[in-house]
Amino acid sequence: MSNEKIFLEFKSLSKSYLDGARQKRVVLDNIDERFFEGEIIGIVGKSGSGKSTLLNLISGIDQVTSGDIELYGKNTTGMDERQLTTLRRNQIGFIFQFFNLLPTLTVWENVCLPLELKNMLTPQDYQRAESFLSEVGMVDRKNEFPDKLSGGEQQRVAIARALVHNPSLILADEPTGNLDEQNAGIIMQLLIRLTKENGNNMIFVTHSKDASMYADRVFTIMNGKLVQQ
Amino acid sequence: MKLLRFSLRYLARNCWQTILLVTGIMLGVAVVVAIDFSNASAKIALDLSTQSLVGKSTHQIIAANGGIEETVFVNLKNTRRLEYASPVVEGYITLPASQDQALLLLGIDPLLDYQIRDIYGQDTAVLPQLINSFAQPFQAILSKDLASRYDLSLGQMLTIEFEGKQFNLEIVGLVTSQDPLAQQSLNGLIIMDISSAQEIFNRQGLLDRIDVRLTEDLEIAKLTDSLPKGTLLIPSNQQSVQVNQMVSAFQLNLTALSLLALVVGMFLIYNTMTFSVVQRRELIGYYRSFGFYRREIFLMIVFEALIIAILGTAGGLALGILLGRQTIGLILQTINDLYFVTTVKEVGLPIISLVKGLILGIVATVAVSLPPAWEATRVTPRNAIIRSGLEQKTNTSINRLVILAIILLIAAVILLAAPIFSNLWWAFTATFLIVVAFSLFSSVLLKFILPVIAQVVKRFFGLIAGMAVRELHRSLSRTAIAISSLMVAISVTMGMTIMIESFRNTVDIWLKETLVGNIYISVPNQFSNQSNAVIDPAVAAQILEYPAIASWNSLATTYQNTPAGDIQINVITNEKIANERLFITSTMEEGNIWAAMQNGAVLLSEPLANRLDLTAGDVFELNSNSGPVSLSVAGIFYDYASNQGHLLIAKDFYERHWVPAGITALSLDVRQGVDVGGAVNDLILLNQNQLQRLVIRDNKTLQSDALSVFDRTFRITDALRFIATIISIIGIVSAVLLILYDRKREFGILKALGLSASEMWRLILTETGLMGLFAGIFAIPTGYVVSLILVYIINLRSFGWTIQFQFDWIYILQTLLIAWVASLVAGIFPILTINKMQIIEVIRNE
Repeated sequence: MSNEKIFLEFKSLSKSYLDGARQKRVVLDNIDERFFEGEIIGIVGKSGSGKSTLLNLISGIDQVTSGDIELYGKNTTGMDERQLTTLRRNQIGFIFQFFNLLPTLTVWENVCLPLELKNMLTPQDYQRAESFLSEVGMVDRKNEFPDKLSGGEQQRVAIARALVHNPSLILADEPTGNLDEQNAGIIMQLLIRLTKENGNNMIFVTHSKDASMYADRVFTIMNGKLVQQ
Repeated sequence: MKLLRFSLRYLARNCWQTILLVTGIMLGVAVVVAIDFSNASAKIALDLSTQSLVGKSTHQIIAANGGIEETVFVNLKNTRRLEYASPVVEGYITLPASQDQALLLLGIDPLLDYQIRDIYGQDTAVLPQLINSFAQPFQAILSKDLASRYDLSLGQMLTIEFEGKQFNLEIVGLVTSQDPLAQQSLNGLIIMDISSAQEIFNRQGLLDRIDVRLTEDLEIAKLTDSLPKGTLLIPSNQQSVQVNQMVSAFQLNLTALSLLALVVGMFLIYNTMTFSVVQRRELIGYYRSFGFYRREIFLMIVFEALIIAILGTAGGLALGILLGRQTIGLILQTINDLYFVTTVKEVGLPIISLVKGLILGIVATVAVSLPPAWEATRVTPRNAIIRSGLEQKTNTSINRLVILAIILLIAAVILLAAPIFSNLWWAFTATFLIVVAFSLFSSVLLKFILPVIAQVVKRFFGLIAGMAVRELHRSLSRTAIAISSLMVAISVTMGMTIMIESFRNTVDIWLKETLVGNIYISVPNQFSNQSNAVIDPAVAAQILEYPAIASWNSLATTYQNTPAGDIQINVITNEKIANERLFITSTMEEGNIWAAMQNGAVLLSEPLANRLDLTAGDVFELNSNSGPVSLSVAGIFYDYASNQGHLLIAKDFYERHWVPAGITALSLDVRQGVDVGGAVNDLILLNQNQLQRLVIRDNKTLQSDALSVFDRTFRITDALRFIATIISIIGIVSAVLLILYDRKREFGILKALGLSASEMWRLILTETGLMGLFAGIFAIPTGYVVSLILVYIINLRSFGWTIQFQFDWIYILQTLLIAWVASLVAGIFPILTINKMQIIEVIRNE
């Protein structure tokens, strides 16, 4: 691994919150870790262990308490809001547990939104969106609004949306947490396949024990530490 | 109690929303209270100025025209027809040292007057003192308060001015009254002996009226029979009634406008309460699943409305009193300008206005919250989270709105067209129904046009701009109300603006048509509509000797008392009068009118013709000293000088039947080549050495002075329009805030996907801007229709005159701009809040 290129590195990363009783609660405690290009990383842990917090810190939608995060060689902890927005727009694709499709947009428009934000408006870009929708099996329903779709279908659209603008990193927060077992398997396989085919990195968070089936490396968050299984 | 606790907690947790609601109610109630308070105060002031000095008198003997000969009083007294009677000569004077207030100078006979009036106080010892006080000419008594206001004391000289002439009075007595209302009347009064008053008013040998006390019908009949020709017996309160009637239309218009502010406020409450229910559907669903009854949910929402209503109304009452203290000045100024001279400036706080405001604020707020409270009871634990169901329901009910809107329009047309609904209130009700109908139509239109617009916007401005339009459509249950409430306020503002501008333009044209002389001369008079002050004949003669004058015409204004109220008669010498008036109807060629006027034809202004219900060709009678005189109406002309109107009569014909009236104004034409400005300056210089001060103005100055009075009368209207717009902006801020808060999760997702702060600004401003734009677009036809009703129906019914409707494209731009800017401003605060929002917090809330 030492010869491979690092895409993400945690340096003494810590995150703590003040809980309801105004007591400091350490969620991530002085983590040092490196992740390499082409890897698919799975993170597991109990509820409230800090899995989602870690993803949010990587994407810059939450701020570290101390330490640094280097993403593709750039320290994101020192970035301002504008730089972080640009980072998310250009390099990160999000998949949420509750899909978070925009209700005012059709399936097609939801998928095209990251292209629009990234100003990728050529016919080839739209062709790419079409092919992703085809890959996730939703091309026939591209004019539907999200409230007409099942959970599994919504998550398929969310996958297409996360990949369409060719981000370097996919962050998936419990992508199957709201789906039944059968659908969960299908979605995970689809996600892994598309991520690999497109040469993206992916970090996914799950409480499922099957993480090792999909990830190259699996980490557990225990008492604020990141422990490789 | 637990319900009240829940309500309080909800309001406290949503404090910004609560503050906006309370502010909206507060402003609405404040405007209504301020106007009602001002109107009530103005009425009290009028009553005090007209009636309180009536004292114990039950009737007045007045002359049909000019004045009563003193001998009439003596004869009546000798025939023992008058047991309790007091002759009066009165007029309004000013104090040169302080031009701000008119004072009534009352000339009486103290030996007779104490039987009629209570102003001398309970202490009978005052009477001999009073009689002694009047032993010398030009001595006066006044109230202690008035004396202290102008820093005057016994023995000091007081300079007064009447019709440009100054007189010095010695203060020989100070009176006060225990009765606060009588005291306020006294504060606008100077009492003198009748003979001195006659000298000041140049009415030697004449009385203005005789106040009498009659108790039995028989007495009234006997006295009526024994009155000489040209005199009338009228009830003492008739003047007060007439003045109140004159002023009522003006006050009613103000009341209607103040209610507009409240209506806009009510839209705001309805909007917010509806939203608060929509926002809490899930929570309400939980309550229901815990075992809350529908009734309890209903009461919880009503409690919330009640708390807001109490807070808003309390604040509104306090603010209303403060505002009212300002508006009373403006209203009394307008009443002074247009109708009647009030000598009372300040009155106590009319409690009834506060009670009205209290009831209106609380009842209206709770009433508009009933539909949302009812909606809340329909929430079941199951359907609580189905938002799309709610919007679907809104879409369905929107279709029913079309039917409701059509019914409202039909009702409005009936109210406007049917003669039995000719009362002004019906016209305002119809206007309100039309505005509501248009707002319903606009909701329906939004339903159909928003998807189309969303497609167009997406195509030309991209997906994010398209999202903004689509969101308006998706949240139609809220956006439609927000757009409607802004539309209502803006459309009425537009309607009022078109009416006022049309009116102003009409007055401008009318002034240019009517005022054709080069120079106008009149007696200084702070009461612009009471222009019967006479130019001293010697002073006039000197002026007319000015060599640059090519020709001149005179105007003598006098008032005829009739059962239909006072009629202003303008006695004229202008042969070309027919060319200088715009006729609505006439019975003959303009060239023949002056000749007909020599034989009893008269011209009526439109308001007078409407008031007397006369049309061209009609014949009517006016009493003269020698009996009734038949007058034929040769034409009716447009006129905007006063809503009581006036009659034009030729001087030669008038003087054949009535006592000649003194000249009140002169119109001069200068010789060709003479500089008018220079001539005015020369005449002013000449007047400086004359006995009577005159106002000498060129044509342009007179026109601009008239327009400034016009503008002054609309100042209060401007203030009310401004407040209604502020309330609607608060409404839209509240609506936008609520709509955006409801979508905070969506904004969180967008930010997570990489939407920058500037793009977020653009997205939200596009959305709020579009709301404003739609409100503006819908306000244009609504405002246009409102302006037509105001111009052709309400103004005609209120004031009796026809305004020439004038529409300009600038009004459309103005309306769009106001609506658009208001909504953009409304969007700023919510955007700042949204931008501060942490993505993590909204996304985590899953």
